Amino acid sequence: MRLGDGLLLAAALSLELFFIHRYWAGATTGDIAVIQSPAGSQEVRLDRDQTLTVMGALGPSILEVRDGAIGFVQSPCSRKICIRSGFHSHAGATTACVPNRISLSVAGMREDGFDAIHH
Amino acid sequence: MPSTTDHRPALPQHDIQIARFAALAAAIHVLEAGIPSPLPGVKLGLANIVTLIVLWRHGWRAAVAVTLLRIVLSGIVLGTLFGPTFWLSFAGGCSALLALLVGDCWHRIAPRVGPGPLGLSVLASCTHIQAQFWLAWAWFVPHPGLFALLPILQGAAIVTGFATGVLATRILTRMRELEPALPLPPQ
Repeated sequence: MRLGDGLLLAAALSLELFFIHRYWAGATTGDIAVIQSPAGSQEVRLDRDQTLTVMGALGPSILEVRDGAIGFVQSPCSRKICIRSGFHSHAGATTACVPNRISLSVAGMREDGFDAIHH
Repeated sequence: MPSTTDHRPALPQHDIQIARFAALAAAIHVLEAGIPSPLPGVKLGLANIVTLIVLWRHGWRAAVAVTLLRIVLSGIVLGTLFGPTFWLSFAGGCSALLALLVGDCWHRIAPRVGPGPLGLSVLASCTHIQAQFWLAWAWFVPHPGLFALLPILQGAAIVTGFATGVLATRILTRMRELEPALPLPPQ
C-alpha cells in the first residue's frame, strides 16, 4: 500500500465517520415534544428536566421530562398503557393516553425514521 | 479458410481488446446482478476490477470505453436500459470514472506516492455509491430518512472497494507474471 492509497482510504474512512456522526449519532434525538390535550397543544423542550401536569378528559396526567426523554408517569386511565410505553427521546416517537385524550409526540429539528421502505 | 482470401479490413487490435474487456465486464456485471443484495445499491462491484485493470494497462480512454460499453450492454441484457436502475448505474459509473481519471492524473504526476489500484478502487466505489445515493435522493426518494442509510452505504463502499482493489492488484500482478514486459502494479 502506498501513500496515495493510504490517503484515499483515510479520506473514505473520515467521510464514513462524518456520516455516522451526522446521521446516526445526533440525528434521532428529539428536541421538543408536542403534547395534544383537550385544552389544545403545547410544546415542551426536552433539554430541561421538568414535571408537567396536563388536564385531560378524565383528569390530570403527569408527564415527566428526564434526560432528554419524555413520558407519562401518572394518568387517570385504567390500563396505564401510556405509562408502560415508557420514555421517548427519538424524533418521531409517539405515545398517547387515549382514555384521557392526551397524545405526545417527540419532534426534532430534522425529520427522522422511515415511514416505509420499498424496493 | 485462413484469412488469405478474406479481404475485409481487419479491426484494429486495440478495438478488439476493448470489446473483449467490455464483454468480460458486462458478463461479470450481469452475473453479479443475480446475487441477492442486502440493501439496494450495495453490491461487490466486481465489474469494476475490469475497469481498474484496463485503466492501469491501457490508459483512461480505454477505461472510459469499457465502462460505458459495460453499462449499456448489461442494461440491454438485464432489461433495465434507460430505466431508473440504468440511470443509477450510469450516474455511478460516470462519476466513478471521473474520480478514477483524477486519481490516475495524481498517479501520473506523482508515480511514487500516487494511488495504486487499491486506492483507486476505494475512491471509485465511494464516488459510485455517493453519486447513486444523491441521484436516488434527488430523483426517486426525496425523504430525509434516506440519510440514515448513508453510513451503511459508505461503509459498504469502503469494504467492497478495498476487496475489489486487492483482487485487481492480484490479477495485475498475475498478468505481469505472464507478460513480464508490463509494469508491476504497486503492492
